[in-house]
Amino acid sequence: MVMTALNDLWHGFGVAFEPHNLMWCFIGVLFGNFVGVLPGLGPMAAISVLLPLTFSMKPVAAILMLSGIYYGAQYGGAICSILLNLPVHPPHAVTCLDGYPMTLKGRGGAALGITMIASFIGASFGITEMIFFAPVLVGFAFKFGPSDICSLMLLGLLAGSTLARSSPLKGIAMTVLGLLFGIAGTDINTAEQRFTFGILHMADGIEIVALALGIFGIAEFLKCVNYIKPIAPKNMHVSMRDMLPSREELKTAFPAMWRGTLVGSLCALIPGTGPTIASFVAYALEKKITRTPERFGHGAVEGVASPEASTHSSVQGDFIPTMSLGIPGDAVMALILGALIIQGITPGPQLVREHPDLFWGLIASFWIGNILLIILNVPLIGIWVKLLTIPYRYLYPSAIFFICIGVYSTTNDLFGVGETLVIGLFGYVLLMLGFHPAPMLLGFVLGPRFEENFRRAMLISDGDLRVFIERPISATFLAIAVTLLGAQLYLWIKNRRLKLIS
Amino acid sequence: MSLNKDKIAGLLLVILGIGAYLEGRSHSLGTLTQMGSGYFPVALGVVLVLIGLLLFVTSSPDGQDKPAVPPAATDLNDPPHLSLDHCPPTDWRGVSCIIGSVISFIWVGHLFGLIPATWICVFMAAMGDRTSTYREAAILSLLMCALAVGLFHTVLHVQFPLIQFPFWKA
Repeated sequence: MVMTALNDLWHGFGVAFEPHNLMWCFIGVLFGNFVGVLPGLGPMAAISVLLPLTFSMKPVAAILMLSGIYYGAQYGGAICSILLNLPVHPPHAVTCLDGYPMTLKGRGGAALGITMIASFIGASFGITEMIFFAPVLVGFAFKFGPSDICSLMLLGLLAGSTLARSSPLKGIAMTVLGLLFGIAGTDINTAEQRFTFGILHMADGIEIVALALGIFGIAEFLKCVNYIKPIAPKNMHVSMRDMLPSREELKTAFPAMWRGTLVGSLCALIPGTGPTIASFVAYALEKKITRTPERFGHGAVEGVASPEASTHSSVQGDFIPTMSLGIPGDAVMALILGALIIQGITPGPQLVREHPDLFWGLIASFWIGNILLIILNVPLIGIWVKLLTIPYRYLYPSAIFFICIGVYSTTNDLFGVGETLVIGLFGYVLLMLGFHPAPMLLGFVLGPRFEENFRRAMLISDGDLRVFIERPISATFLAIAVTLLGAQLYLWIKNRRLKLIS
Repeated sequence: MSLNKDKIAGLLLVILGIGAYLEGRSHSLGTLTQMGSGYFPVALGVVLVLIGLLLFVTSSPDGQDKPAVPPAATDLNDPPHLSLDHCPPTDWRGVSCIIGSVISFIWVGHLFGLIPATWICVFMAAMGDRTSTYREAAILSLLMCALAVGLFHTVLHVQFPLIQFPFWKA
């Protein structure tokens, strides 16, 4: 079992080291690191902008690059939190709490150094988890029938929408809306046109690129324009030598990194709990178990090391359900899954067997990518810090152009650009009303497959809904989903009561 | 009863749900065993209406849910300018410039080709920021035009005429 995994991994390294793939992996992590550093641009916008580029690429290279953007952005995101106290990248928001005080004390460089070590440890553990855990999950997933898949998707959708930020109700609403967006176009079973409003272009459905760029690109710019102020270059002189933490700092940071890593890898296994939640849990845990909680918030090293390790281990672990079951845990994974579907690869448990190049090549590229990121970040930290000062007024106009041309290039048609604008405006309205549109993408990607599997399950069971609770696997998933909803409801009511009292 | 954010959100969901329901009804519903193409949209529409009603009824008294992410430690001299969970009031100049920039990309691109479209798109978007100057915006848009030709046209072969004069052909 262990030997086969290592053997496959060896093969994966062969794939990842092919010059072509290595180049795209490098471009991915470089670009990811770049957008991770910049406030106001996130990995989701970056992946959606580069998504059209991948249509003409080979599947392996495409997925290596897109994944590289995702984990590369995590390396850059911490810089902004630690040096500037800007929680613009959700998974690193919690790092502000102790990272920025360290900067004020003049230990900002050391905080970054610790972050890098923590990132690498966390990521390594997450990748190892994927190597050994994903094949087990795949073996298990082959027993799934349509009803089981349906329940699993339902669980994934509910977890993805309720565990995210904002109220669970709004999250579920976004997912349902995403499902509706997903089934727009020609129905595969009856060839009827749904939600096309008589527009010929809509027969193919909504382009995933248009949706992603609309809600993560246009809508975000509409929200942020004139609200992101230029960054004053203070506390911002970090050189490679500054990044070396002292011996005492390392001594306190190391155990924290391992705890964070464990928290992150556990969070990765629960669908829907992405890196953001992992980092908050890790920080809360550190604060709980320390003997000196008063140090937290004033530059405690553990408060930087643990959440960062946890974020990275959860980012890598996020790929486990996506690649082995075909169920994405969050919007970024949904985008990567969308890229797979565009490449003509059906996501699901058969992926590991049918496309071993892709699966093991991806895992191997994680190692390579993470090492590349360390090389990129440690000696070049000064450059990344300088990039922080690129004003937003240069960034977003360029990004809008990239969005326009990117959407255009997917269909060679200006209709898609208009579609993106409309979705972007709609997304902005949703943002204003306090929704977080990210789960929409989850619903969008799973929509057609959910309908298809539901239809199949109903056909097999002759329209008997009890099939979902009669099959043990499906029943288990549903039970977890119900528990999750119940817990959410309980917390929500509790919070509301507290709010009403105060 | 005032119309706060959550109530509007709930109403919007109800409207969207009814829309989905009506659209779904225009297709064949079928039975649970043989689901027609209208079955799934109708079901989702009903769910959306229910969620919308629930949101409308339970909307929190202060009109807005507290952010789940606690605000980071604030430095008084340098307050964080944009929080993650709060959408600031609409900046009309920025918003209209961005919308205009995308529309002009479509329109100018359709008539005159990629280079003019790129230029006007970037220029207009850049002018949405209150701190940019005409000079800066013009230079930025020229740079983007160079990128459009160099990267997208030459390297990536995006099928988009670089420049054309539709009215001269006649």
